[in-house]
Amino acid sequence: MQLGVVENLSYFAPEILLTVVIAAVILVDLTKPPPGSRLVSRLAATGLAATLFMLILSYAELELKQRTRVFLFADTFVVDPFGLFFKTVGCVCAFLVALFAGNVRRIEAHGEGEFYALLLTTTLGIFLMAGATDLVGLVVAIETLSIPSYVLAGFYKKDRASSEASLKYVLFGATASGAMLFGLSYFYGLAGTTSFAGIAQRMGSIDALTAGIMLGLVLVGFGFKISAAPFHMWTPDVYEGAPTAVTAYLSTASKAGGFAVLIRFFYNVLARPENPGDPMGPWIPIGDPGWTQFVAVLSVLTMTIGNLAAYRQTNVKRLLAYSSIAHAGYILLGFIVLTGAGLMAMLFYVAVYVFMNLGAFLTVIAVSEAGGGEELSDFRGLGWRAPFLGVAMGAFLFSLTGLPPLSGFVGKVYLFAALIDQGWVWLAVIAALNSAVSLYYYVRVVKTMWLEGIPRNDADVIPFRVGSYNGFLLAVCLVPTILFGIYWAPLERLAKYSVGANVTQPAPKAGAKPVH
Amino acid sequence: MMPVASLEWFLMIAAFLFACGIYTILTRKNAVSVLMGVELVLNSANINLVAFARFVKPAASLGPQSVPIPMESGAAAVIYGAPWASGHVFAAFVIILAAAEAAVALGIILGIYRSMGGVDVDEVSALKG
Repeated sequence: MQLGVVENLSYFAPEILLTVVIAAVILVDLTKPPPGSRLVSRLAATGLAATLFMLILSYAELELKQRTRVFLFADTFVVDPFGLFFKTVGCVCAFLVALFAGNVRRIEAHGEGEFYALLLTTTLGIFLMAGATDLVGLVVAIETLSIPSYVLAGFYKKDRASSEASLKYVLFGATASGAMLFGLSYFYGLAGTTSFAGIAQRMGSIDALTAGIMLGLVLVGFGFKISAAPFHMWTPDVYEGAPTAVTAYLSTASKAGGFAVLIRFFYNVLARPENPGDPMGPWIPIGDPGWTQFVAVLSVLTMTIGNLAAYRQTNVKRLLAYSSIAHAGYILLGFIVLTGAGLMAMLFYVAVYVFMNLGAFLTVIAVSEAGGGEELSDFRGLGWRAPFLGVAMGAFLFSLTGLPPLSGFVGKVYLFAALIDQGWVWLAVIAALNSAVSLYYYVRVVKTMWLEGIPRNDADVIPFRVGSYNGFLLAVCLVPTILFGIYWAPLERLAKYSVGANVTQPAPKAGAKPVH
Repeated sequence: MMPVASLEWFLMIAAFLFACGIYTILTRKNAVSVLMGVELVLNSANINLVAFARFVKPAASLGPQSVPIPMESGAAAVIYGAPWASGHVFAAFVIILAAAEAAVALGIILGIYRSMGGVDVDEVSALKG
């Protein structure tokens, strides 16, 4: 369906609204709102909530007009349920992080206006990443996410760790996007066009070695975004040094955006559904199928390195950084099976992962804001002093491990089932072993909170107050973590619906006008 | 008769520049030098893009907007505007992004220099696991 400019813009409404909110945040900050009024952070959170509402309207509009997808701006951008899913995930993460950061004193001291303007710009980058169907748009979207992230990581200017995090992030990030661009330039050279659909038509004609080099270079960029091994080296340092709210954001929304482009690019350029009308069924690779094996090796490396390194961490933020590397490995499992069920499992896992991971980082924020620290020793006996915090952190960590009845368990079941269904049993075994290893370090945190420093009697308990605001936010993350472990059918339906429309270019009939 | 530069020459130059850039990134200790390596890498991609735009005919030839153009495989794709220009447009965007990235990176490096008195990548190592 080809649309005129004005109708184009109505489908682009969430992005436009977000841009307006970014401008408003900057302008309101210029009026120097009285300190402590939290005007800017409230404006940003309200703007993100409104954007979320617009995304739901976009879903509704697609449904009402019975369109599976709408192409905008000369086919360089697509609005479809797949993109909307990742936009929604990114927007929810940004909304929660904006709420978290609203209560962090240090961020206010460093300038709220800059923080929220940058945060919302990265969110806009994720929106554009989720919809890009053109190389130029893809690169611009990735950089729209990356460049403000570099600044956010170093937001505490005078703090050595924060400055160092941002230096490492920017140097690694610039190198990764340079390599990715070099790879993408070959994709352009192959097809003479920058559209994914045009490139897909030429992919079959090149030899395995050339395709391997091109894909390897592009995977550097995408692997960096999702922090897959061996492009994960920046992750622990950046996650530890950056402000915790930023870390929470980078490990969830930014990663979800990386997965969005990874799936969109590979499943449009390098694979197509076996039966064009049925993206839920098996997909066949275009050209050389070797990339699935290659990504399988990356996935194994990523989860193993993440889990083994997390094993001996004493800083909770750093431990969660390695855990998020391991989780990128798990999510990649759904990517290599080349079925709609695998993609569905990925989307499901991304959705449940963001809540449990945001919750875990929020606990770290709540503890350090209430006077604690980020080291594991700062968590000693905290379960007894702040029971709700202890229970919530326990739930997040057990869900990250993948224990029932929490959402992480259901996510892993879908991933492993998709693997075994396609005969990747060895991979499923490695992933299950990895989950078992991860239990050790997650439980260590829970053990420190509950089994160390136990007060002898009730009178010895020194209450640790996290505040009702952070307590409420913890509950907001806790509800989906538990709910999707018990009643996950709606999320499964949403993920299925999103995958069902992931093909940007349905196989056109010869000579016929492409039906979008 | 003047030799005519073919696509391969440009690709070789670009690949050489890319290798130089990666070598610079891996061996230099000074953060600013590393950034210069990144610029080399980005510009090698630009050479590729512009060379491809000059030499590679797009998968479908030029046509009026919204009219499907038959492809070799019998499939159809719509190509808008002037596809031969997309390489130039891509390169222009890359130049802008490189400028933005350099501005942010130099700002961060300046901040590091002020707080630590140096920008040696090896010395910036408070965080270790």
